[in-house]
Amino acid sequence: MQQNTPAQTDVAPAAPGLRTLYEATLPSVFRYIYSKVGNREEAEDLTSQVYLKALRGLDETRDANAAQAWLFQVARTTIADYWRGFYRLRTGSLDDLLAAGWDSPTITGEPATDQGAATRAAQILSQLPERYREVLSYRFLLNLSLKETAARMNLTEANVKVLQFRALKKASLVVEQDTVGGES
Amino acid sequence: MTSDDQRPPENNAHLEGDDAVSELESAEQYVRAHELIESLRAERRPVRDAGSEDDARLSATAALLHAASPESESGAVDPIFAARLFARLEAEQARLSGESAPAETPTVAALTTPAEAAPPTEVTETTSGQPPRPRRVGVSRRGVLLGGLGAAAAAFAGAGVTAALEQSGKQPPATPPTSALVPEGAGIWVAVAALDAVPKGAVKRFEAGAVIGYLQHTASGFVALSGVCTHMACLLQWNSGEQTFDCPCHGGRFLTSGKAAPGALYPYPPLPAIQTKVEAEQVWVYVTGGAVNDQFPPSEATSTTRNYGATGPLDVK
Repeated sequence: MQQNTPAQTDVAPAAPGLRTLYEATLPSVFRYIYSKVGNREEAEDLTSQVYLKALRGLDETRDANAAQAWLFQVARTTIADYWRGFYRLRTGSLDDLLAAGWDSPTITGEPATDQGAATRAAQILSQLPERYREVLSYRFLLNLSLKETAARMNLTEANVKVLQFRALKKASLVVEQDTVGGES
Repeated sequence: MTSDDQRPPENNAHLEGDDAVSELESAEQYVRAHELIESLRAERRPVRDAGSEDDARLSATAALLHAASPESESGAVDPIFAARLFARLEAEQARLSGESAPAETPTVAALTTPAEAAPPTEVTETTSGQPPRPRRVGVSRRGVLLGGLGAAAAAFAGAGVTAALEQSGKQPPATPPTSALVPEGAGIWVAVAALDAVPKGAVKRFEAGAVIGYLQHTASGFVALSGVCTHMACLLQWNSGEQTFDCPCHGGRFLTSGKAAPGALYPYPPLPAIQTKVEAEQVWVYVTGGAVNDQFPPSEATSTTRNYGATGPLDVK
């Protein structure tokens, strides 16, 4: 059959195919972004931005690994820009935040494993005092409500609010130490 | 580390013996942290306003912990989102290609050359030099089963997305996607109008297979465009006064060439072109099969929009 649009197929690169690259990279790129913002709404927004920005680069990319590395690079800068819009950040601290919980996907170019965030979270929790670890596990890992958490911990809901803040704060310092201190 | 269940934390900055952390605490911080956690649990964007570096770190840590939860099925891509984004990317890619191509080529190029002319029954079953392929690539039952994606995907990008989803996890697609609405070999020819029912200058809406589009009889022949807005997939309406295709949803407007009208709020990607041809006194379009019966000729009972020479309210001139 006739090509639908000869003028377009002339200028569009034949390889490697947007669909192939998209399918190969979307799960790991989305997971990476999700692990940075922690909610679907923002993760979908940012993922869209990343792919739309990377589209020209993808056209020229011939190799799936190279495309993946490129996408992760774009993802990092996109998240960094996004955060800079909200937070007053030192340059170095951005790198910490972007690296935390992830094994340099831009360097290896390998798809992230499903265990990326879970492993990192376990490492962080293991360094916390027991009650902190407990409240964060209930609230995040088990996804319990404030009320359920209070019941399990035999605390008031107001108690849990204080405790979860302190635990999160402490955990964030652990993240900082780990990333500043080098590979974890 | 010690802990004492009996002591309420309010009275004990030393609940966990971590005085440094609690030095500068305020009730507001408790509230903000709580709201952050609840936003993540609801998969919603948390409030992010002019925070400090500590706020950023807290937020990033919460994100990591939430992403680690097996409860939230975190990190798994929503297939509807995946389909929508892919449709946007294809449209954007088409737009980028169009930028470097001569103006107006997409729609003119969509005209089928006489060399392609063959009896319709053969056209649907053979492709020049290529092995026969399933005719219902675009909207299959399997596509529908994938979380009801069949209809959504068809609305967003015709064949491309569903085919992509069907092929995910299997072998890579045999052919790279093109910017045309229906990839070569993935569609069927459907007659949408009698030749003399669409005079020069007329615009006629059609529904064929899984595609809704507009057929135009231009000075240089028949041109067909997708009738779905490239922004959020609302159905376009023909505005005969302005000679534009208008989107009722977000103000999108497209010229008869398929390009976004100048002065539009946002320059959306152009409307994908659909192949056309004239044969046996009929105008045919090359579309994705499936949604409407794809037999030839269409029976009167199931395809009023494809009645030859039908004149609807959308016809002009």
